[in-house]
Amino acid sequence: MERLFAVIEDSKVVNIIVGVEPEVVDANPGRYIEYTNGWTYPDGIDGSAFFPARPDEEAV
Amino acid sequence: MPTFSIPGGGGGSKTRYFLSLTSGTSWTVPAGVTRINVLLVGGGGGGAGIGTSTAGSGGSGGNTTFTGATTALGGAGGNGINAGGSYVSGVAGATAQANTGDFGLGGTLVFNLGVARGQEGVRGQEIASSIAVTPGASISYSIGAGGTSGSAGIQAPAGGTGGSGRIDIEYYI
Repeated sequence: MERLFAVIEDSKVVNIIVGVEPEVVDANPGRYIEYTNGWTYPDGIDGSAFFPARPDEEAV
Repeated sequence: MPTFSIPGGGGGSKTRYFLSLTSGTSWTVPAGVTRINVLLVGGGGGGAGIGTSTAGSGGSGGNTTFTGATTALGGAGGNGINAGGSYVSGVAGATAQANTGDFGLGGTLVFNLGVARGQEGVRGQEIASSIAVTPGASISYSIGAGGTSGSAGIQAPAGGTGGSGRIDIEYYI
C-alpha cells in the first residue's frame, strides 16, 4: 500500500499526497509528515480542510 | 502499452503513446518528445460519518500537481451530521477505488426513525493541459491522496475514504 503524507507549509497542512519517495522525505524534514486515517497529528499543526475538527465526544 | 499510428504531415507517421502515473514524484521526458498532453485528476473527498449523537466530517482529497500543468484540486469531504434518535445498527461507507478521484460514501445508520446515510464526499477535479517539454528533462509531480473518512464516534458508522488522484500523459513520437 502506498504511504500517505501530509504536506506542511507554515505549520499548516496544504495537501495530502501519495507516493513520495523516501529520499525526498528525508531531504525535507518537517515538510512531509506521514499520516494515517484518524485524528492525531503533531501539536501546533493546522489540519485545515484535510483534517476536519474532531467532533465533541458526547455520552449517550 | 497501447500504440496507435497517426499519419503525419509530409508523408511521415507518428506513434501515439499513453500512460498513467499513479505513484512516484518525477517523470523523465522521453527522447524526441517536445510536447505532451496531460490530464490531472485530484483526490476524491472522504465520506462523512453519521450517528445518533456524534459524527465526523470526511477530509478533503489532496491536489494533484504536475510542473507546467494546471493543478487538479481535491474534492471536499462530506459534512458529518447528528441524526438523533436511538441507534439500531450501522455500517461504514464504501471506500472509493484508488487513482479514480472518486468520492467516499457516507456511513449508513439504522435507527428508530428509519435509515439514514452520511453525506458523500465530492469528486476530485479533472483538468487537461498541453505543455511544451524538453527531451530528457525530469518533471516533478504529486498525486493527491483520497480524503480521510469521517470518523466513527459514539454510535456512528464511519464514512468511506476518497479515491486517490492520477495523471494521464499522452505524447507522439
